[in-house]
Amino acid sequence: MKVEVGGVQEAVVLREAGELRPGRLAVLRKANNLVAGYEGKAFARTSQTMSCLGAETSHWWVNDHKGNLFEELPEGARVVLEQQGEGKAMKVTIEQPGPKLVNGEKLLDGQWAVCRKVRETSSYPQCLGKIFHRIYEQLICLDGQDCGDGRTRSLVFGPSGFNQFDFELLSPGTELKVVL
Amino acid sequence: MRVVIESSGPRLVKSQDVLEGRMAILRSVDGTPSWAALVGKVYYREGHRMVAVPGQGITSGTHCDVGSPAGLDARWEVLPVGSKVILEQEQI
Repeated sequence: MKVEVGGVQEAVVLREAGELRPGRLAVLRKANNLVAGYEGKAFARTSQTMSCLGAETSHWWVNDHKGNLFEELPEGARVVLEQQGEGKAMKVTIEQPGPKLVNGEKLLDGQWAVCRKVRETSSYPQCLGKIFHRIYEQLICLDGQDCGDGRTRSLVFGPSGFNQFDFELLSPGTELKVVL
Repeated sequence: MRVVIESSGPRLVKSQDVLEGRMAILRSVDGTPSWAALVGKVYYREGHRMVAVPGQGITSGTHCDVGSPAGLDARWEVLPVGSKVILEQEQI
């Protein structure tokens, strides 16, 4: 049995321009004809316009964006405008923060999570990338995952072992795929 | 030997001397209080306009035509190559 961890992501919510608050940063994911070619570009929502950062023709009224779908960037994400040499357009890069990690001690009863960091001194480096869940005072590595040593039985950790791991919480609705 | 370095500060230009796609800081405006409030803000040249980089709290004066506002002696400091303007998403 194999448990696939791939596809573990926060579900991306797409919104119309009018649903974004002024001051928010967003990436155009699905464009209508008016802004065809601007998919993947970073925009800033101003009071009345959507402003494409670093683009030659950059401003559209919010109402012109009906039918366009944007992904709002998460807290901490950055859009960097970098001045290039003469005759070159500004370089625009979108920097997304990595997932928020919580230490195993802070994982709550019933929560599911993917191990993203293992303390260097831990004897369980194979737990990296594996799915865990917290049940009462136990942190259980989901049964069936190959932990790299041919072992497929559950690894169970008590409270003393909790802080060897940092986790990315699985968002509600995440599906786990088990391959037999 | 006595060495004195006298610097005149950054080179300031009119908007028509800001090249396409270049970012520039509005450094001085003579005459109009509403524009004086925009001194220090970052704009970029887009065709015949100077457009404010969003997110600076500018509610009016988000853009102006190159060479305008008429009668104003606005001066801009062009950002050197490699300069970065960073827009960061705040708490949602």
